[in-house]
Amino acid sequence: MLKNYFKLAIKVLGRRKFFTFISLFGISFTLMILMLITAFLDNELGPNAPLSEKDRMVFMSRIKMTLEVKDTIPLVDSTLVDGIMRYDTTYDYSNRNSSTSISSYSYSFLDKYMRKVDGASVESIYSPGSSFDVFINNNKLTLSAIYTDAPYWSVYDFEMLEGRTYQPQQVANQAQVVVVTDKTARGFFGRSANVLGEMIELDGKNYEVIGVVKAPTINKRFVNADVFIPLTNLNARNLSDESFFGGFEGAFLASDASKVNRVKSDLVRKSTLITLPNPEEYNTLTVMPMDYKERYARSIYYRGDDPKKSARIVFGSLIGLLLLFVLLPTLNLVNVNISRIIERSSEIGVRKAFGAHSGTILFQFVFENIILTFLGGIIGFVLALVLIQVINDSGALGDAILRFNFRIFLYSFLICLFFGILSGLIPAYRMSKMQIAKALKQNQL
Amino acid sequence: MIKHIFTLIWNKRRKNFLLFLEIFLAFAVLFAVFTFAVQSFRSYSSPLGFDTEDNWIAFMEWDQDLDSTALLDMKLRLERELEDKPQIISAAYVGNITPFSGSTWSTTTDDNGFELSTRLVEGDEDYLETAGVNVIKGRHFNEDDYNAKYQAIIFNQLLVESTFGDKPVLDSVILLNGEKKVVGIIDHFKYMGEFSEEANLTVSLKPKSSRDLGNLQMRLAPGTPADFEAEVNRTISEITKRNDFIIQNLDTERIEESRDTWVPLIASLCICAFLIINVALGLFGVLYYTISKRRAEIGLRRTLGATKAVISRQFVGEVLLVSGAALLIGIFFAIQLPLMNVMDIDDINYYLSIGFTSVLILSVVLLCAFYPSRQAANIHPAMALHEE
Repeated sequence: MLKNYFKLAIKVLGRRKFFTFISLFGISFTLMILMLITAFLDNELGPNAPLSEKDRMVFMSRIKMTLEVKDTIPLVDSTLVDGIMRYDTTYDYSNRNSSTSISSYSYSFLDKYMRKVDGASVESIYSPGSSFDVFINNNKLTLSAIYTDAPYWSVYDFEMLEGRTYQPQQVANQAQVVVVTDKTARGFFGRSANVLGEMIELDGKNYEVIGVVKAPTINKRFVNADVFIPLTNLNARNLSDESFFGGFEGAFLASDASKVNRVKSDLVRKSTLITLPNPEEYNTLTVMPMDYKERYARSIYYRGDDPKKSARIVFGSLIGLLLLFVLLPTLNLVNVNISRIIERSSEIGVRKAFGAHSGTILFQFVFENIILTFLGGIIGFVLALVLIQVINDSGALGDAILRFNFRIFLYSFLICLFFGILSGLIPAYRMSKMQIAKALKQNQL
Repeated sequence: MIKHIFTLIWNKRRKNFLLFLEIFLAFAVLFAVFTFAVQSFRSYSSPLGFDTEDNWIAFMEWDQDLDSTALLDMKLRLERELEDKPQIISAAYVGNITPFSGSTWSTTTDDNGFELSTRLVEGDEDYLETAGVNVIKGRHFNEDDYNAKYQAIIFNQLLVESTFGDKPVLDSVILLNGEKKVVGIIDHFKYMGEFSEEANLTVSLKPKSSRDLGNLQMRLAPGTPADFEAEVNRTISEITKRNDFIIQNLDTERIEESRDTWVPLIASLCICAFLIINVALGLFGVLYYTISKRRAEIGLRRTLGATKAVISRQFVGEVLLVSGAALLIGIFFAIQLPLMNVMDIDDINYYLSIGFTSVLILSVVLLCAFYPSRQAANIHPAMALHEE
């Protein structure tokens, strides 16, 4: 049965080449763009190294401290009553923020107050955002560095290419060792393998390369760096500084994804127990634990200290835009399909006259449309592969490298199916409801 | 005639509804993208106001342990040694708000009796000249300003126009984190990047000794080779005794900053182009098909004396009426955005975008309707009637 439908569909496609072209053009480009978007989103949000465990991660990257003072706000309301001005003043007694600071944490804050978090199996403190200029044969290389502790490597599962990462013992001993990415090794030593034991001079110190990891393809400053250095190599003042503000952030790995909220609430609970050292300067402290999605959304759309709201707005508008984008080609396809199905009314008439159910006809036309969609899907897939190559080569997305994997293939397949059913349903439904007499009369057999 | 066409459309309203919806959606998508594009291009076309070519900034960390005289000595020595190099025309210290860094600092005050809202940039007396910013009224900062009674500030033209209008501002004393005197007015300084919109800006003068001015901007002689940077790097690390500084080429930063807008802009315009082609082809196909279904009607009208022009006008008119209605609905919704001030975008951008979108959609519709209508008009009455 399906084989017959398939043959029929191919025959029909060959009959009206111009219409087939219009349909395939629309389908293949729409699916190509959807596949590209899927590949991009997978790179940003999918479980890829070094963020494979992003569902279990909780970040502490921002602390907010405010000075709230009680203030009386008079509100003078004037009305004209019988030509005489009357005043009505109300006094509002409320909190006013007189100064607010938002920053990343200091090492001592995270180390002192944010340890032994309920539900978290690994805790890491690190300081992203240092950069060094190094010159090799008069070529400048700007190396970005992250100073990390040893658990950093358990939170983020970098793909190890060579050697190993530093151990807690080495961090404690201020070992002058570094882990570099393959990209750094290529830039610095001219080769991406066999660089273990080589030395790199940074900030006046000589570091021995003990490991090479694969450079992350995601452009996030907490994982995307060229070298990773044990944080004890920082100036000792950075670690002992008692102020709450500093250049560090914390990452917590919940023991499983369902415990993320427990980790978050325990972090908030711990923060409420802290007595502030200098209440004249700041008298309230807010920590903002975020999961990966919230942190991602917050970096796109900053919504004060409410990462949940950011996540809702960003992902909501993303889905809205995608739907809007898909709707247009779908409508176009529906339009074209309605036109071309009419020419087959005689066929439907005959089939119905011989006892075919509406459901059978509906199924046949939707099935034909799905075949058409998958043809377009294959073309779109090839186009997407080519375009991904072009985009990766041009470096238009910075460090992001788009790749196809099984997951994206599966998503693409589902997209094709959804698109095929969506655009085939209305025309097929109309045809299946057609009166036999009308269908037979309309066309000469 | 229009009434007649309207009846025809109404009789086929279910079919035309899809066409209507398609045009409406196309309008919505194009309008959104064009608003973004128009806004970007309008910002892009206004001048940057400073030079990026042959300009470097060294982002430095200074030892916190140094006392202020030692720090000043170190800073002055560094500036002097760098300026002694023939490749460096001038050097100046600048605060943390530097071009393309993404940092801004803004303040609002009503201490003067009116609201003054401005962004702030800090630099020493040579900063604006080193950056190549153009003073149109008054003068640049000079060394005497340090000894003057009031701290010196320079406004940009936009701030003067938006806050003071025609009133003379030069040499007046303004309350802005203390009493400040306006010594000059600059024309443009879009330090946020080429695609950013010019905002109210105040440049305030800080002495070189200030810890707030940690970064050093250098203007180089044109054609200085890139490997000169190694020499600058050596000089800085020798004098500051630190290695954790980086030197950025402003021109590279400008290109990278703009790329953040170029990439989504070009991507969304490409998607729009595809959508338009898609809609055009679909429209063309549907019209072509509809007309070939209505051969009998055309044949009859031709026999009764309708000219080719009349026939072709009828079909173009039908399509135009449907798409025109969709456009009007679209424009109705689009107009709400500037009227309700939904987003922080200049109204003119919306109106330009509405104009472009309408013209584009109408011309695509006309183009797609034209050929099938001509085809319809060329149907020979005898043939059409014979088939029937």
